[in-house]
Amino acid sequence: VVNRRLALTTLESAVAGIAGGDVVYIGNFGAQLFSVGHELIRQQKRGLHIIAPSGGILVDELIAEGVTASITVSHCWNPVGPAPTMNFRDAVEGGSLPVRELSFGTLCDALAAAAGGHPFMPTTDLGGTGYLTEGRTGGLVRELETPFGRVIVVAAISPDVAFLHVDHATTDGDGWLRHPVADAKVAAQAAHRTVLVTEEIVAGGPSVADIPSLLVSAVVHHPGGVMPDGAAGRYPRDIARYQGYAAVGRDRGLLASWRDAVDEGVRQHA
Amino acid sequence: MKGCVSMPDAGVIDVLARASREIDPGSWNFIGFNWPMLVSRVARRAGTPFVEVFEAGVALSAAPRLLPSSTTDFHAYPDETCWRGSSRDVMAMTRRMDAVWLDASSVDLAGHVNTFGAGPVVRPTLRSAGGGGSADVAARARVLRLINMSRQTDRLQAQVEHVTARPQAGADVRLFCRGGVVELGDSPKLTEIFDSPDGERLERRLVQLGVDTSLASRSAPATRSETEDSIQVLQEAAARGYRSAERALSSPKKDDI
Repeated sequence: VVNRRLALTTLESAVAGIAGGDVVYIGNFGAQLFSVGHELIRQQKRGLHIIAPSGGILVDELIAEGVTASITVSHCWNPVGPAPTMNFRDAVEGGSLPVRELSFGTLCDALAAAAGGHPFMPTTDLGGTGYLTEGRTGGLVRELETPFGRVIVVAAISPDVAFLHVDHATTDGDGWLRHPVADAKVAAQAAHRTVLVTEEIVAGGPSVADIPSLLVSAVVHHPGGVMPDGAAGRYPRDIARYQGYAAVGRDRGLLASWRDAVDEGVRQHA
Repeated sequence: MKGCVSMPDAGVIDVLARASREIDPGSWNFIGFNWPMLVSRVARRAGTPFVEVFEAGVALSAAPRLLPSSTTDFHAYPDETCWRGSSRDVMAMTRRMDAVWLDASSVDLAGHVNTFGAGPVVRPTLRSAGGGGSADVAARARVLRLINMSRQTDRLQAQVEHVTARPQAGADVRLFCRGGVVELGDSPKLTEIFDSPDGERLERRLVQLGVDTSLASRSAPATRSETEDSIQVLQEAAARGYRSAERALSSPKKDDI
């Protein structure tokens, strides 16, 4: 791999460059980057379009704290329980938040279209589902007649910046996953800029990298970056903390306390 | 003395036991979140060797030591992985899988699913909290197995509102629910009925929906070992945050004590 000598950066710096109107992808599907979301809240970012494949309680927090102008998600619930996310629910029911809902496979196909330089990509046949009949996708998914038959297509999505979690990375930007690849590679390929948030900095990996430095703009060393979620082989999901989120509900004070407790846990872990 | 005691929910145990028998040795199964994970766990306890695939892009050939709190609880299954890839890889493999197992909050006679409806069953105020990848795997499944554990028989509907997943035409679709097994599709029918009050309620609901129940066979109830396995899995699940398992373990029953 060509040594591009990327500078390590801090989470604070990586988030500082984000401006209102930016399309920000917060990965990964599963191991969610709470550290990035909490930094967006700390820096009082506003007006962002957040794409989070598994929305979950992180997106619920961003909605509650006014970070989001709109969101694209494949679902938004607390995976432990499972339990509903009340701020998301209020925003959707109240019509105050534009939501583009894609199935997870369709979202990955939208990223693959962008990665390949295509305006759209054939995707899952969503005919007969509310994605099409109720217009949930915000116009991103259409049905086309082509010389090869009828297809469902999804428009390309190219985030301004994608934050992705990796287990370890070099300062050059090569990244290794320990958990399933899920959306990570295709999101890095689709985004204009990719920031890896890594548990550990290494001199080099024992095997070929999952995400090559060619796709990476910056590396943030931030152990505990997905807490209270778990990182494969590093630390377990904090189930009690997830359960505690259900009790937070719509109360902003309780939410701030919950977030402080998570961040304190990250500091102790580091 | 008359009193109120908590007993494991026999209706849930019957479904877990019956559904877990459906996982064939050597088969590859896509396992969706919540109840399908517990069905898989019961089948593992029975010693059935099979592969389970999660949508994040991973296949497990053995039971994780610790029950994952969801399919994305990656730390819970570091050592049982026999394949790892992307979610697009999973979509490309789904057509070849022996079965796709999904949780169905509401389901209709055609096999359409609302994965996570909130609010009232009919005309829910929140259209959907999203179906994740359920639409993707359901549309590709040759064999679709749906689990619904609700006591509300109106979760089985003539036509689901806010569909998040739909099977492809010609797919073999079956619903495992309280009281029995229902074949869904163009000609829905009750194929098995459990010998229980749940079975009677299910039959009444299906008749109300105009479904043929005349050919249903009586299904064997959960055996003693299946019951023990199911209760152990429910206990594990309750400790790992599954609210549905907590509820199933503390089903209030008036009984002599």
